[in-house]
Amino acid sequence: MIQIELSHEDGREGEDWFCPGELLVVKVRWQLPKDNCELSLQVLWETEGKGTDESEAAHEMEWESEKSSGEQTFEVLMPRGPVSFDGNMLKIRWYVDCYVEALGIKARKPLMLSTTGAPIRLPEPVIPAGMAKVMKLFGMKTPPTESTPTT
Amino acid sequence: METGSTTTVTTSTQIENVRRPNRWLLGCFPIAFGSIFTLAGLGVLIFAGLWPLSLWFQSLSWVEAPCKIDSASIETHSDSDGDTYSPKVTYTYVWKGDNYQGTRFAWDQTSYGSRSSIEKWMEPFPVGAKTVCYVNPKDPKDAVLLRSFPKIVLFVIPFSLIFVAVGGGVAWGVPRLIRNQQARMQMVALGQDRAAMRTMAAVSGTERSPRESATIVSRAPEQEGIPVSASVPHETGESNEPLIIEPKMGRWMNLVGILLICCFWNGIVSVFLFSMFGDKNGPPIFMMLFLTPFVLVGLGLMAAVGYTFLGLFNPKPVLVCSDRWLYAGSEFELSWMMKGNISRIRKLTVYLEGTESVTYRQGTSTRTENKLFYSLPVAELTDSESIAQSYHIVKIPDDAMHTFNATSNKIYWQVRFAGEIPWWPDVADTFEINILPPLPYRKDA
Repeated sequence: MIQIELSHEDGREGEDWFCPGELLVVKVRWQLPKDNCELSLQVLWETEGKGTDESEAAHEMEWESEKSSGEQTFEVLMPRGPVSFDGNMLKIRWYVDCYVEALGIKARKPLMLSTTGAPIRLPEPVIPAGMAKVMKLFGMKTPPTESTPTT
Repeated sequence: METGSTTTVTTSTQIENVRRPNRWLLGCFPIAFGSIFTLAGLGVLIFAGLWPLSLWFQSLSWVEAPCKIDSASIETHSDSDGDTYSPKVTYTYVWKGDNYQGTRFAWDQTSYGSRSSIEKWMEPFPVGAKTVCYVNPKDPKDAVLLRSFPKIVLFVIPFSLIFVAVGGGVAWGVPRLIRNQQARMQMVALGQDRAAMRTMAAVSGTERSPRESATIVSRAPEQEGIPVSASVPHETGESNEPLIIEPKMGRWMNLVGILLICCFWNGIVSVFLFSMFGDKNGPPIFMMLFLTPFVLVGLGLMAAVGYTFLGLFNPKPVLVCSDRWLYAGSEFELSWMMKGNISRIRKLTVYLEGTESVTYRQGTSTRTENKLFYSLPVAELTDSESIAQSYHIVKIPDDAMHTFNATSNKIYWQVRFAGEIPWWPDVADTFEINILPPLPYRKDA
């Protein structure tokens, strides 16, 4: 079993969002079935949605635990971007992963990279004005058009 | 997402005040130089490439006739570069009971530098040999002894096309390059003249708050040690100066792209068409019906090539963004100058647009889907003076997503010019801009 706790530099807990450049404190506790295991920690982003999934680790750490249980604290600077994002076809999520590859044990804690406490959310897609007229003719609901900027 | 705002100020006076060098002399030399190259290339292409090729193609339907070689020799041509050789023959042939004399050896009329290769070529045709020649049934005086493919055209055609392309490129492109360079220098002068711009903004009541690039530059060193993903743009060592933005895809690139697709598509379709119409029993109806949609697509592609070609002659914007580093919520000055005959543009609309783009596999093919999520008309102009040159203050929405450029997933921002020209392809140019991720958190902030 692996547990991940995230906190801010000033000790605040419970808030799962971090600003770019902020210090993230990661506390990892583990209890494994055997001694001498290699643990890995990653702070990474992943894309979700319609496109092919992609991911990139901003920080990566590995350490060896002589005993089957223990705990370790890490401090990492949150990167500039990409910030957490909720688009129509694309979403960007941040996670802290800790795993023991040899034993197939993995723990994951989601977090947000944001300046506001929420991911950037996109409005409905904009459609060309001509298309909106055609849709209106057929009595269809029209999303925002390019001549009426989204709010 | 909140709506961005724009402010319009036309700055024709500033642009006109920048001194223009005499472009007449600069433009004439490349035009003359390039035209000579092009004409020479065209001459070689037509007379040494396409003409023999066309004759060879026609001779494929000529009829075989018995003939006798009367004389065979190798002609030597001497000039300052040395000697070259060409075959010289006369032969008598019989066509429908009448005797004719022919002198054409082959469709390849070129002189060669090697005598031995000519000797080898003429070996099967010694004096007195009885062989066959090929006679034009429509004009029996017209005959050829050797009907083989003129291989020289495989060298002549590409070689002459290089001449045509280089000459044409120099004659057409260099004067424009010079003009664009001058326009850029003018625009840079305009962009750097920030004091003049602010004065104008102050006069028109649109002066910006002191939150400006100076703040950004002073914060930049704080980024050190903070990781930045390769898929996210970030500040480099350069200072936050005005930036000339290049079009996302040049007009020539567009034309070349669509031309290649057109050639590829029509090349394949034409093979089927030739085989269909070459059928002695006439083209089969089923095959004609099957090929019709493919031919229509081919015709559409040809029309698209023509449309894109005409679009090359449209007025072209040169765009300057006042800030190199743009962020969500930041304001920047977007100025442009249109080069070309701007009187043809009835209406010009400039948009700031944000698009999501995703690429995914579907079966065996890879698909890319784009969705516009933000579109702000920065300017809608109808008077020629404003279309020719303007500057606008644009505000990026506070909650805008920054540019993201991973392999299969992208968020991109662009400035799009859409100019309406009656009875002509519209102006459609896009310029990509980078919106950077938020500046790093500061503990003391």
